Amino acid sequence: MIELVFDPKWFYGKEIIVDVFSVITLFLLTYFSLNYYRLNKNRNYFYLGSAFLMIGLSFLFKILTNFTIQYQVITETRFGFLELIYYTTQPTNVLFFIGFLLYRLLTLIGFYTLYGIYEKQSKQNTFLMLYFILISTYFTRFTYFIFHATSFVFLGFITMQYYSTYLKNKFYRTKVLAYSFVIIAVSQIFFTFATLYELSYLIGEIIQLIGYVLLLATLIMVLKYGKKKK
Amino acid sequence: MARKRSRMDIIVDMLLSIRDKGGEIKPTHLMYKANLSHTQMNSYLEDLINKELVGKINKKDHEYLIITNKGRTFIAKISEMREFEKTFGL
Repeated sequence: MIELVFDPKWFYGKEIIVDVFSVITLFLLTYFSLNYYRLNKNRNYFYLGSAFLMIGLSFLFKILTNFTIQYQVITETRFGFLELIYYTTQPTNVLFFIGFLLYRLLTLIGFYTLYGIYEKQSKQNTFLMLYFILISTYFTRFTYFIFHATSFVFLGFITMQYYSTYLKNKFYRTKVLAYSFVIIAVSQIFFTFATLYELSYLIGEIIQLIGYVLLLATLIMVLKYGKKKK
Repeated sequence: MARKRSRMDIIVDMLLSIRDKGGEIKPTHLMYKANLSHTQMNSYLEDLINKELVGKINKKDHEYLIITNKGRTFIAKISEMREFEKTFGL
């Protein structure tokens, strides 16, 4: 007997709020980056916009995956005269698998694109990296801490780039930008240990939210300062 | 050595020159203020007028160039864009 139920997780609703906030921030950054690209045709704007778009879309897939309907399976097992009836919950595998794969793939490609703006990559390097991202995403689908560890490495390098930009321009806005990325990187450490400690996931989500709030604050400061300066 | 101005830099310099002169300027003054040759200025000006960023008016038998609202919005956008560029180190 199979019964359809929605999975009620204790952090279920709140997690989606954090993700929706991140999506809004990332899509706003995409909008401005691509708008500026239309104005001056500087390819870096296009790559920046594409990177934020991919990370934003990855969050959308994560949200969709969380909405995955789960099956409750009632299994009956007989041990001689004893009959055991137990319930197991299984996700709709195909949706869950595709959603999670796209979430991880787009996140890593997005981070790599962001990193590639500052550390120029040859075409061969790009193909090689995309290949490694693709196979590592596919073959580590059951060991998901590897995905967060990889994200941490990418975010660490991106933070270093923004920090070196800050050392050059000494802008407070760039400092906040570097902070936002270091905070998002730290959240990945907590996600890495989420399977071991339940609280780790919650802390990771809160830290990630702070990171995206700072990222949004950076954008607001840029727009405000730009208006003031004209 | 100062870097060569891009097309965008020149357009912004022209618009800022008009705006900083109270929104209207004589063509010759614009030429000096934006540091352009006569031919260069005419070429850029044609583009700016076609895009409705700049307009022409006649005042006391003199031709003046005026910055339009679209031109002012364009300056604001460019200013934002430059801040964005510096902040993200693009």
